[in-house]
Amino acid sequence: MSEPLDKLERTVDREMAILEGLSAPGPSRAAVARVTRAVLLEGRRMRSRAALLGRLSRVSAVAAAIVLVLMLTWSTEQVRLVDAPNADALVLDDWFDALAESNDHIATLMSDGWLVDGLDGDQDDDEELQSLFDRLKQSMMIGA
Amino acid sequence: MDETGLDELVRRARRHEARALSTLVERYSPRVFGLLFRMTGSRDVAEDLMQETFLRVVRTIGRYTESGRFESWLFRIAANLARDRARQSKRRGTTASLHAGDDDGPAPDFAATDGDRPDARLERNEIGQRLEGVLASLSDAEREIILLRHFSGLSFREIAEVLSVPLGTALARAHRALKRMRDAMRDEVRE
Repeated sequence: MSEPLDKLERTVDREMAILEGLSAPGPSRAAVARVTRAVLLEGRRMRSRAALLGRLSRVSAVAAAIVLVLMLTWSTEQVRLVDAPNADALVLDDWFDALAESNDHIATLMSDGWLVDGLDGDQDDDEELQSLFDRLKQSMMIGA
Repeated sequence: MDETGLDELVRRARRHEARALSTLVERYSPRVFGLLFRMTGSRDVAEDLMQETFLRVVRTIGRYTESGRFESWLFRIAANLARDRARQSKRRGTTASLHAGDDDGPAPDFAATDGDRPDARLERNEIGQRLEGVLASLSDAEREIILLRHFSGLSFREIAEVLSVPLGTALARAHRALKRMRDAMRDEVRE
């Protein structure tokens, strides 16, 4: 506070002494009793309200915990779905299986001496060769 | 009641303990009523506002921060209610002024005790009546500040906040009002 205002406040407070003789009327006993009743009633109402809010907050906390657990469970499921083989991965597996099968056929042909014996093989060898090409072609299509 | 006792009482009242609430009413109703009665000039209105003041205290005491200024807070509520009532009355065109006198007949003096000497009580009553007359001659704005300072114990800074005026204005009004009161009292003595 600035000094002039501070000084003025002190002066005015001293001057307030003139009001010392001003009596103050008191409230009637009936009025005080009425106010006390109203205040106690309001206090009880406020206490009940506070208790209700307390219970509600506990219920809310439990509900929030349940929601949290559900959300965590759901997000874990999401992670599992992400980890699971997707459509592309399945196709790749099929492609490798087909390639492995083709390799087996080539190995069989080599071990049976078809390529070693030359191109004048019999009808069965042709069919087997055709089958090999078909499988290779199929595996290429699956991988595409 | 000392400050520690009051703080404890207020803490219990914040929990809405019945005994604490009734103690607050018992303790402060005379001063709150005194202020409201002087501000409104009507016993009925003052009692009505006194009830509203204490109900507001109960409803909002949770927001009151224990800063040792409970009385200021309480009287601020009472003063604001009296001002609101005066404004409402003004809008309705009924009695608008903050009143200095008793228009409902004499009110009992809560300060008087059975142990007072009759002559001392008579003298005090005479002075009190003269002061009431002088207060009635003040403007509403001047009277409001004087009554708030006298009954509530609010500082002039707090009164300035309640009335939404600068501190300097509040002090100047009070100073002017008190000078007029002194002059009027002096004139009465001369007569």
